Amino acid sequence: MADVYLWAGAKRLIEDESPLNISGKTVGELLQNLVVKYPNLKNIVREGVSCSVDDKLVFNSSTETVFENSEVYIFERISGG
Amino acid sequence: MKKVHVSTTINGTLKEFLCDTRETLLDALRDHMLLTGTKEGCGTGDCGSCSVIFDGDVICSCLTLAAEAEGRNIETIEGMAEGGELHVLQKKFLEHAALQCGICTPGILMASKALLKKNNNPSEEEARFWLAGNLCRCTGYDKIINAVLDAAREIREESDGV
Amino acid sequence: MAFDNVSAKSFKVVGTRPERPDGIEKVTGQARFGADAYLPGMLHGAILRSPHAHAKILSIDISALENDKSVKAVVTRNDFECNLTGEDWNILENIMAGEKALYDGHAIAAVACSSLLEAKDALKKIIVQYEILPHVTDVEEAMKENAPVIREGSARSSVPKGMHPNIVGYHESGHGDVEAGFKEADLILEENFRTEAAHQGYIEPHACLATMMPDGKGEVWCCTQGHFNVAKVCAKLLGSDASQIRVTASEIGGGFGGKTAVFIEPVALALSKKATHPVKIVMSRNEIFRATGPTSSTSMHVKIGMKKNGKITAAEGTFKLQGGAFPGSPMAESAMCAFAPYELDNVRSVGWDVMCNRPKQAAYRAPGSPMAAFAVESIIDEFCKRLKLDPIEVRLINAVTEGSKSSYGPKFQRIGLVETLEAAKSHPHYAAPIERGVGRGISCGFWFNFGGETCVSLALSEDGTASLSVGTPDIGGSRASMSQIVSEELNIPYEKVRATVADTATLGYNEISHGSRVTFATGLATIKAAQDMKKKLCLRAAKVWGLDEEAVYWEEGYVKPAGPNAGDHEPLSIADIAKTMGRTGGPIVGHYEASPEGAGVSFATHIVDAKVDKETGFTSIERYTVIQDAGKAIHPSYVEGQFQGGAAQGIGWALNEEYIYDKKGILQNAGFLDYRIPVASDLPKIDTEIIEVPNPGHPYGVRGVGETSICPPLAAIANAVSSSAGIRMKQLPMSPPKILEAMDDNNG
Ligand code: FES
Ligand code: FES
Repeated sequence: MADVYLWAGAKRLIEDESPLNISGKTVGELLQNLVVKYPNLKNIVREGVSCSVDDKLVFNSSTETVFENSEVYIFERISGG
Repeated sequence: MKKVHVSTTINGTLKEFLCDTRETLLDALRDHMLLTGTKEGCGTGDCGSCSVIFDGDVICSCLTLAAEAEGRNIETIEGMAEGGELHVLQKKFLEHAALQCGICTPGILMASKALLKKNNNPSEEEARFWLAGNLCRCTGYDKIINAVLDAAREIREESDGV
Repeated sequence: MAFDNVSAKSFKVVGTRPERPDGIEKVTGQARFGADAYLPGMLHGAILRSPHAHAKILSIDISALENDKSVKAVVTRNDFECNLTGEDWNILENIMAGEKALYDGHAIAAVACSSLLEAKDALKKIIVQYEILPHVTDVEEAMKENAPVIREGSARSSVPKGMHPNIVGYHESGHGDVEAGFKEADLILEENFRTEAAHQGYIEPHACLATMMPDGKGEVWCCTQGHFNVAKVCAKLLGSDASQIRVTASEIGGGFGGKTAVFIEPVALALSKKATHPVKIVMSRNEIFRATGPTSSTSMHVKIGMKKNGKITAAEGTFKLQGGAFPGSPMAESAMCAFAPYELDNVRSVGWDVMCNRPKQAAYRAPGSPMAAFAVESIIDEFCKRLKLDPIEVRLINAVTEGSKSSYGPKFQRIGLVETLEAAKSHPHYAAPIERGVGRGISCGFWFNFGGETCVSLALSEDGTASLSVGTPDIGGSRASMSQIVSEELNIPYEKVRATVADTATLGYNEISHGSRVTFATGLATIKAAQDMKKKLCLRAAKVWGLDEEAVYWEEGYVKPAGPNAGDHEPLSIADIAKTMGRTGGPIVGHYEASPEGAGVSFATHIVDAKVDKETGFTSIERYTVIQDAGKAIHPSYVEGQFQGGAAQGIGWALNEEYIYDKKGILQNAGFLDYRIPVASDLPKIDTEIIEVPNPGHPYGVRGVGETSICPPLAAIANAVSSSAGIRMKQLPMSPPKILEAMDDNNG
């Protein structure tokens, strides 16, 4: 189970305190499981999120590997110029 | 609408074209003669991308009517390199990486050529003021000014050498 | 071969300054930009635009054009797909109005004629009936209860219930206990800041030449930062398939983020489809200002608490950004970048995305970050003044390093902020005495940088040279740096590599050239494609020699037999293998396709000296120094160019550039005369120093460099101006009237 931290704006939509324990071998799986556990986050995840896995920023790739003890931060999808 | 017949010298060659009286020299160069090296950045005389040399002076071809070219002598970027040899300004622009996107480059080269013809030893300030009518959004001008001053130095050395 | 690790590699070609491969075309006028394409039978398109900021479109009467022989096609919204949703719908709504005109300059209809003059005449004959609606162009006004509603139902799910419909996005991030942090502070400062919208101001207008057949097959030539995206968007808006629309990227005359958006290509295709002729559209400068994407304007509030020794105890910021008449302003980026340079125990950042009757904002170099830095770094500067602390020391005390927790969540990997600050401290500029009347300003800046979908192909020619096809338009010399990489990897001369930006039918999807991603992502892909080719060369040599793959190795441009077979065969050069490849197994091509992550964030520190003339309010920039971490500079000249260009744009944004709307919501300065960008005589030399702290996510250590350079200037200049003028400037641009006004207020 990875330790998942949400950005404050999203945290307000769920009752639980971070970190959340979510399983998943990849970022994609983890996000899926997150939404299953917290249906309130569905729209926010659908509208686009980026994240970091053990301090590596992952903007797009849903296949990025997540490990058993990974620390995952999720924040709003951002883009550049 | 009746078109006007214009004959003019462009880069040393006599050219003829027909144009609408509302068309600019820039339109005629680009659309009638396919000399697309001269660029349009604004069409209102504010950016200098359309700079050409018109009877020895730098002008904005977007502010000049095509019909005014009658009997004149026009130099564009396409005439700058001669006999397969780049002009020293062109060489220096490449050497100093004085272009990023390169859209302002033809206009800046034409304006610089006119500057060095009038003054082959400009100070940095003179070069900056001379080129103040030519906008470049990419470079911050630093490398452009370096290239122009370096070209001036080479031109002086060459003429001293003779 | 340990290809994948960052090593303190010594380079032969990377890090040198060869002339760019596209240079001669560009200095001789041969390079073909967006507007430089012509086709037989080509028509010219022109677009009718709304003269109102907000109006209902009651009717569009084109009957006067029906008998006009010069008019070959007319299109309105009805000529585009009607079942779009989400961002596709937003793009369509932006490039051709539906029920309402949402801003001054919003496209209403378009025509195609044999000449541009005819097309412009034809536009005058279209009669549009509008019902003018109340409008709003100011971000604070747009959030008020009685503000005119731009569109119901646009809010993202993050927006708390019960807000005004113009408020379409909410962001909040941070950690710790801000209130407790403020209690520990010796001094707390808070302030409101405002910035106006600025335009990227690329000198080349948006231009395209498009052909579309009645069966939906299309060809587009255009200047864009992302031609694959153009194909995708055009297909969606016209009900075709992305694969049926082949887009070729022309040379691009500047983008800076502004050419990531699509404006005219679908319109040209729609006109072409109706006229069955190619159609060219070139935007005028007036149209560019009114109807492409400038930055957001902002209203911000920042509060920071500090100990006497300079340590920040808590920081809090609210960033309200209007993004035009559509959702999507980079407010989350503002909120996340604002405090990124500092290690904070207690931090809270809030962002609001607000709609106004203005054009849809587009990215502009590090979208959102420069404005936030302006607010935060101004306050830090004020602390230095009040607590009599050195501005670089204060930043060093608080600076993030590897392992620091970022204000937006994760910890930083290896970064170079401290290195830029140390370099600033020992730079001659910082040591130079400050002349009377001059103010010196410092600021740091931060940007994320991106990777994204990337695909390249590297083909070996029979003569041993290599052609590289990339799918990312070259916006700042990337063909040069990519050629350097191939040269480095394959040990062939730089001149023997030819890099081309391939069209959308030739390569797999490539994300837009944005987010400073090209040198990182396309560079990474190029390294991998070269490695793929080396592997294939080894295989081929092994085959020729009748050896196993493991029995050969690559060294300095040659395949050599290894171990027990060493010496049995003469090493084969690339050229040797290339010569016979047709007979030994066929062409040799290296590929790579992926969506690399790990772009590596970057930091910069700028130093600027400015002098305000107290009579006229005019500011002159006396000296400017940019220090930025590039990870590894592939072609230092173009890295310096990015540093200088970003600084120059920042100077314009700080001092002069702004969107000015009148009471009716009409843009007052839609031209380079009144929207004044810096000219050569406005600027001093811009000194640069490249710092190289390798990015662990890239084999050479490359970080993106194109965007961070615009993050510090607004603040650095504001700090210098505030020192020189003796008052804190809280609003951009600091144009002469604004400075005089601020000085008056201060005296009054
Ligand atoms: S196009 Fe002539 S000055 Fe800009
Ligand atoms: S190099 Fe792009 S405008 Fe000058």
